Amino acid sequence: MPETFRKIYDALSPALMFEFVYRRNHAALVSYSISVLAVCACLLFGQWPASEEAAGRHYGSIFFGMILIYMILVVTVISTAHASLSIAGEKEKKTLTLLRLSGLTPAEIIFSKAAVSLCFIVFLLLPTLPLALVCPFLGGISFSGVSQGLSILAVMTVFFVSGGLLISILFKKNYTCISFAAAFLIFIHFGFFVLDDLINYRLETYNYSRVETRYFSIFSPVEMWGKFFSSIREPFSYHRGSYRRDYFLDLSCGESAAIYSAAAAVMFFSSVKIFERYLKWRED
Amino acid sequence: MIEIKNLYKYYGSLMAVNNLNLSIEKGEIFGFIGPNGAGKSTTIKILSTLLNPSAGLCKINGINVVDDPYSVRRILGYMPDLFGLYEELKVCEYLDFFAACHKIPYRDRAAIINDILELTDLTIKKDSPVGGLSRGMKQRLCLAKTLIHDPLVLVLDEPASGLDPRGRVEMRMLLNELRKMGKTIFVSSHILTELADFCTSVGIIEGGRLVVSGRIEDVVKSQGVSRHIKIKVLDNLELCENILKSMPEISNIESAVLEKLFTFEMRADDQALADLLRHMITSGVPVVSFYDKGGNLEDIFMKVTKGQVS
Repeated sequence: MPETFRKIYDALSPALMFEFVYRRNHAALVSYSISVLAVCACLLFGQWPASEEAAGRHYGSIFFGMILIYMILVVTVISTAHASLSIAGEKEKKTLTLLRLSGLTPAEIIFSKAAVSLCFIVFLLLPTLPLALVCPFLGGISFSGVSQGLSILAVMTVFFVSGGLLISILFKKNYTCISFAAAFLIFIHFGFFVLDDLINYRLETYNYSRVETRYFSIFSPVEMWGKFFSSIREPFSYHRGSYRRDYFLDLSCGESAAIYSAAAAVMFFSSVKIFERYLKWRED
Repeated sequence: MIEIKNLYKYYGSLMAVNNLNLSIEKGEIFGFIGPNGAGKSTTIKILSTLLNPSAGLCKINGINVVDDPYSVRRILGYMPDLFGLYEELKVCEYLDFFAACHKIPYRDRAAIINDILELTDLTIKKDSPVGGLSRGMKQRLCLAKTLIHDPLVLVLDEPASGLDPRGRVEMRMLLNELRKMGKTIFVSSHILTELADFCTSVGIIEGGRLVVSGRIEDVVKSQGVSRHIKIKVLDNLELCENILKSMPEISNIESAVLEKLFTFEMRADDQALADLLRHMITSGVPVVSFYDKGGNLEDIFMKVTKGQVS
């Protein structure tokens, strides 16, 4: 690694230097990126309109949907898992004691861990990014649609990294953290639906009118992404069978993203505060 | 340099440290001795700002560890008994990272790292991965990391545990070197004979209470523990033995005729030892060597402790 890079990292934070320069897993990331790029290129080739007539169909939105689902899966699973193992890994390896006495501030450690997780995700998504930007040329989706999708994805990345970091600070062992991260993901995606079902089951209106009222599920990423997909493709139907859904609070996907960014900020600063207290006195 | 007053630490209802009082001067090597569960590591963790004391005062270089732990960490080097290492890093990268953490300027780092590697005899392993080092080398690397910011005080928790005999000797030599550099060293160990070799003062803790502390000579004197003396003579063994037997304060005389060596225990101060040597020489015993092994720390330890845990 050239000296200039080391100096830049050094000036930013030794923790960043440590994570980016010294911990070498660059080769694995590069080979991963190349393989993802190859798979996406094959998908794109498969979706590419064969004739001018076929080009009239909305291949761009279909292809962007496919890429976005892949990106969502990567962001949801890997960012939470990566962040949830960051501090817990230091605890488990007993290196946190050395970091505590090293002169690094708790905020510096947290910021560097968050930066590493975010950069890791960006690196994983990097091969798909140019392909996503090609989609508007295939028709069916505009650049603003693509940028909206990617912005929401960025917000969700920050949200899941913050959640993962909070989990990592609260627990000591890697396996506990990864279990809680899985529970966190399951709850955040499906727990609100279960809550709504429980409430609706207890309400008599549901039994007579067959109308479901959604109270909490609007906060689920599943609901948010559903709305986003419906906005870029044919209108998404909220009617299913004989049931009808009413929304207690009807949020657009932009508004949901704003709520997620606020939640991410709260989780991140809570993590810093908890970690400061932890590092000051608690023995790991 | 280190001052501990009325220190208490509770873990729930368990009292780990009970009214501990200690004062260590600059440049001393203080040996902290105690059986397992005596409260040594708890005291060390409080000193190193890793644990909050339940009550009492603990100061390093005049800075209260509770009020300003971050300032204490700048002047303190702590080596834990169980430590983790970033095994994927090279030795020089590992030290460079911790030097950067301590805000050592980039241009100065290489020279400092080279000096530290030389001091800890790790220069040859500079570019080796940390994971490939032996236990003794890892121990030395951890000590090198502890020294990277040139701390005034070193707190070492069992630095020689798990080392082979050669590793222990090297660690002892290294600590002596650091002592010459003017560092104040607070070291805990179970290996009492080794502590006696390089410590200037000791403290024995049991059940969370400091049972005895002070300079080794003073502790030996106060506890009435015999000093272990070894004499080698050229000839005239019989006369030598008669002189030794005639002195009531001498006990457990053992002689090795072939080696012309006498070992015995003597309850005496420095003046009495000098008088004994003079008496032998004036009586015509050709003394080749006269060696005071000091008071046996093990004897003191066994005498003052009862095997209690806190």
